[in-house]
Amino acid sequence: MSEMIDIYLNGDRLQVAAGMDLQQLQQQFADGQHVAIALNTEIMPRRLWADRSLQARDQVLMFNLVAGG
Amino acid sequence: MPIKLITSANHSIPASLQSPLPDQQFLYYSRQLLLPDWSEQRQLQLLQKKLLIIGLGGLGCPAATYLAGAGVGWLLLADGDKVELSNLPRQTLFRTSDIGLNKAEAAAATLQQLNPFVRIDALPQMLDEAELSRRIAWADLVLDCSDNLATKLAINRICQQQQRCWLGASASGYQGYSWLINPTSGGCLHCLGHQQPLLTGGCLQQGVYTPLVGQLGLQLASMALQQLANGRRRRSFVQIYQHHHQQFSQCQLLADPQCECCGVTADV
Ligand SMILES: [Zn+2]
Repeated sequence: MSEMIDIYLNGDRLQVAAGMDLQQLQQQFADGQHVAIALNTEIMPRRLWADRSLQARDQVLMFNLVAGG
Repeated sequence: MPIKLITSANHSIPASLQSPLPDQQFLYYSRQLLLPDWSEQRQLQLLQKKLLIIGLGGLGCPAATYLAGAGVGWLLLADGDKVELSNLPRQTLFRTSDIGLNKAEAAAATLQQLNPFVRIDALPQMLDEAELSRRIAWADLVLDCSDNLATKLAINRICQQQQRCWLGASASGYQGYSWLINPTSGGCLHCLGHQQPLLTGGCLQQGVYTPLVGQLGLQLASMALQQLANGRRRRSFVQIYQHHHQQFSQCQLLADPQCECCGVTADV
């Protein structure tokens, strides 16, 4: 079994496999949804998701992109 | 309560702005003038500013109310929609008697009664790209309070071309966020991910949490005052609402180097 690390997703602590990247995180928790991801208060362009591996204690904010007002 | 008279120590303002505020206006803006970092000079400068607000719905109504009240000198309100009954719970500039009227015109009429000392004009139509571009060039600051992706992307594109700072917000259901986009520092709305059609619909499909659009509108008003009053250009950022925690988180908006709108390869 692979090593697990603690991260925070939208303020809640959870465990993910060490080495998981933002792309995989999105696929696991918001598959098919149109979301943006902030990693430690920086919003990551989608193109960089696959290159950003999660570290222990990372703060991730995943939010739906909407267009109402 | 007596009004504390404030005399500005630094007379570095242009000659045209040196006339003192008329008494009635001094009274009107008195609570703002009493703020420690505010002054008559700052008020006079704000009264010279031109603001374009696109969309007079749930975001635009509160934003316009507080910005007119703060004394932004010239507000241009653009909206092609008519007031409907379902708008009234959160579009606070309208009354039942306004149903069927154009939103920009009805909002302008109410705002002019709230503050007779500033100029308020209405553009009662949807702006095409050329008109939008012309109005954005006119304004000192642009507020995107629209309810649709096409308008937001057009504003993003034009402000990028014109290198203009702009503010906006979006809400649907219990989700929402506001942003400041600075074309010279940080990412744009495309970088945030708005370049693809959004899967979630607008307020019509998802409903909307009424206090959230109000909060976002007031955030825009506050951000606009900061921009207009001190002119300092901040890096692009987004304030994201988390309903679960009843709070906003502020995040930097990083630029995507390959962004088709603001990236180095973009045809700007
Ligand atoms: Zn961009």
